[in-house]
Amino acid sequence: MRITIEVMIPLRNRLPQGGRITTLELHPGGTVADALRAVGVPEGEPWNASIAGQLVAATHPLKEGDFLLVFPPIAGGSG
Amino acid sequence: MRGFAGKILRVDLTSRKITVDQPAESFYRTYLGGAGFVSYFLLKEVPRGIDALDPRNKLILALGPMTGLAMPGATRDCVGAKSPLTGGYSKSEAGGFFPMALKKAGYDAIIVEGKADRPVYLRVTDQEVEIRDAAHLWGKTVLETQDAIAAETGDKAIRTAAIGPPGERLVRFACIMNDLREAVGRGGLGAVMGSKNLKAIAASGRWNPDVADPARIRALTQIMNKGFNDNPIGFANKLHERGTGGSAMMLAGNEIGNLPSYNFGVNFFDGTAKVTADAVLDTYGTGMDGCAACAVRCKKVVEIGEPWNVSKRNGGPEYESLASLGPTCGVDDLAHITKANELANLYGLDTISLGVSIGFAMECFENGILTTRDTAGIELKFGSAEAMLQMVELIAHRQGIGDLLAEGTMRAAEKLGRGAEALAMHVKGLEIPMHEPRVKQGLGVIYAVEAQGADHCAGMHDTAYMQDSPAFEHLRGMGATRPLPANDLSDEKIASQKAAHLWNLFLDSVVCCQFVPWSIDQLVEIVRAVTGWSYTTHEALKLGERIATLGRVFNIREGITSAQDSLPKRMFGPTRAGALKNGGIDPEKFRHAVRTFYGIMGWDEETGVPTHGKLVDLGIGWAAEELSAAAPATPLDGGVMA
Ligand code: SF4
Repeated sequence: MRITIEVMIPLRNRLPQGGRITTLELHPGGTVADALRAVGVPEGEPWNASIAGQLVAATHPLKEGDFLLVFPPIAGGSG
Repeated sequence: MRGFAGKILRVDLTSRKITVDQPAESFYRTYLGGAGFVSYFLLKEVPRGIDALDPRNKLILALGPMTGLAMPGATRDCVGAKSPLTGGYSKSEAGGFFPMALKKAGYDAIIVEGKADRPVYLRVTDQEVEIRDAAHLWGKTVLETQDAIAAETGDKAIRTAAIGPPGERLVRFACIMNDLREAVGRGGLGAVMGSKNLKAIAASGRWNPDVADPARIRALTQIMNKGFNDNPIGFANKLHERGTGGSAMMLAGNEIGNLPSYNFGVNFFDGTAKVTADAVLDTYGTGMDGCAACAVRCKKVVEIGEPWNVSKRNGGPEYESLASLGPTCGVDDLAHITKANELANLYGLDTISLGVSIGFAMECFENGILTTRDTAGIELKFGSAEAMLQMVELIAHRQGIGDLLAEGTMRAAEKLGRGAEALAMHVKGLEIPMHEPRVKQGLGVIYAVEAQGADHCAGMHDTAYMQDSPAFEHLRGMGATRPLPANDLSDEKIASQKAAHLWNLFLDSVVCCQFVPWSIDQLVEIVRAVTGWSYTTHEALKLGERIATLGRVFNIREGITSAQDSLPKRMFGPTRAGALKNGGIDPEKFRHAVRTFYGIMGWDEETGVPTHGKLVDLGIGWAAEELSAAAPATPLDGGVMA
């Protein structure tokens, strides 16, 4: 299954490859956590992620063609 | 007593009588300072049922055990009064330099009552307290007022908290400006000052609190100064770089519907990238600055030349101001937004209520509820940067349509009728801040139940607590349950919101800035090191509960019932576009969540009235008397505003 992932700055600065948009091949039933692991989001790094504007959790199962946007958690006025 | 001056200054402007209270140490330990003092004195001393602009209303300006210390986040005050916007409990905090100057004058709080027969200002030093003539300052901006007071007193250390023309003209969301950039923003406390003919409070002195363990205070200060950038429980590193409103937060917020746009009707804004903190700093920034002794330095400094003439002295826009004067009004012109923000600081206007009131008027205009006949020809359309800026001036001076909008959205909508009520985005009269309750639904419950109305500093921002993280772990130590989705309204989420609510109220009593990532253990340690008490986390959280419950009793006494623990109807439906176009809070779940909150606070689950047992538990059994004089409570009627 292919999905696309975009990691926003400043979280992107922490990735080993640092690419903005990456297309990933994931096993069927792969989750948001799997995708984050695949692009190298460090373990324990807080994040928010959304697909088509809807926030998704780490356990959310991805499907073919999903566009996953990953960004720092949106807190009070910053993030 | 260590850490405090032990003195509360009382000024009756009607009789011009100045007295000093010296409360017992047990009072300080129970209420601590800041929000604790405000909640106590409001309920004890403001007569029931008076108008907020009546001379009998009291303005309570309180410091805390941390104020006066050269520590990050420590220079802050909390001000309270009966609110001209909500008619209920109100408090607001701000930093700057003024709070430190007041502590150095040797006071822990000032309580102002009565009304001067002509404009005055208060000069408070460690030598004397004077009520001085301010006729020559009336009508002046905050900047002009501050500079004139500094010049005429010749006091180089003097710092001011002042109002501008909107406070004088009783604009219901006028604020009090600490120095030039820090707004005691919410609830219209500037109008309470104006109603008393009090233009400013100016303070200076050389008194220093006696601290129980100065070495520990120095060590903790060093830990924060060196470590805030890597501290995982907050986001001080980002604040240090560019303050609030960073582009990741605003752009991603736009994607998920968290950026209120077009008066909360659309929540997707094409021009978001043009109005972020990064855009501000890249275009107009000259650097960063901060409050007294704070290493985080989260304040943007901006400057724009002709024709805008935005001065470096007046401060750059924060996230709340960028979003409320920008996307909420459909405006993407950064120069206009930055100028509007400067005017709000110079005049003393709460930028949240200001932007939301203008956004409301724009939607009324687009719907034909307001026309060019009402606006003296101004095309008050969403997206008109020019009209937005004109409205700031008209509201500040209560001219034309500005006179109506200066009443706040709740009253303006009532006057307009014809469906305007559905467009007024407020809770209890206080305009909703720039964090969408349809996205952060637990925070939405806090907006509804919080005594002062929609306050984004009173609860947990759900989006930041969706996974296990050091930030969540910190809250877990105070009773939070487990990370949950942002739109979750389960009992567990509400228990976590309660923990965050109590923590925030403790912070407001210390009085400490929420942006400096002190942990509760560190802050409790600071209280111990300052006072020498064996203060505990249990006491800190109990204080939070005490404040929330006193605020609730105050509101019940003033006739505010659980029917007002609600959100605007718009929040229960979708937006016209953007991520929330299929969204909206489930009213059943929301009603249940409000009841759950009541229950875990020890308030009656139907009426929200604190139980006798809870009052006793919190050591405020005396507040039962205030409840017995109140109008009969009404049960929660659904949580959705009509
Ligand atoms: S973090 Fe910012 S607002 Fe808070 S005390 Fe420091 S400079 Fe002031």
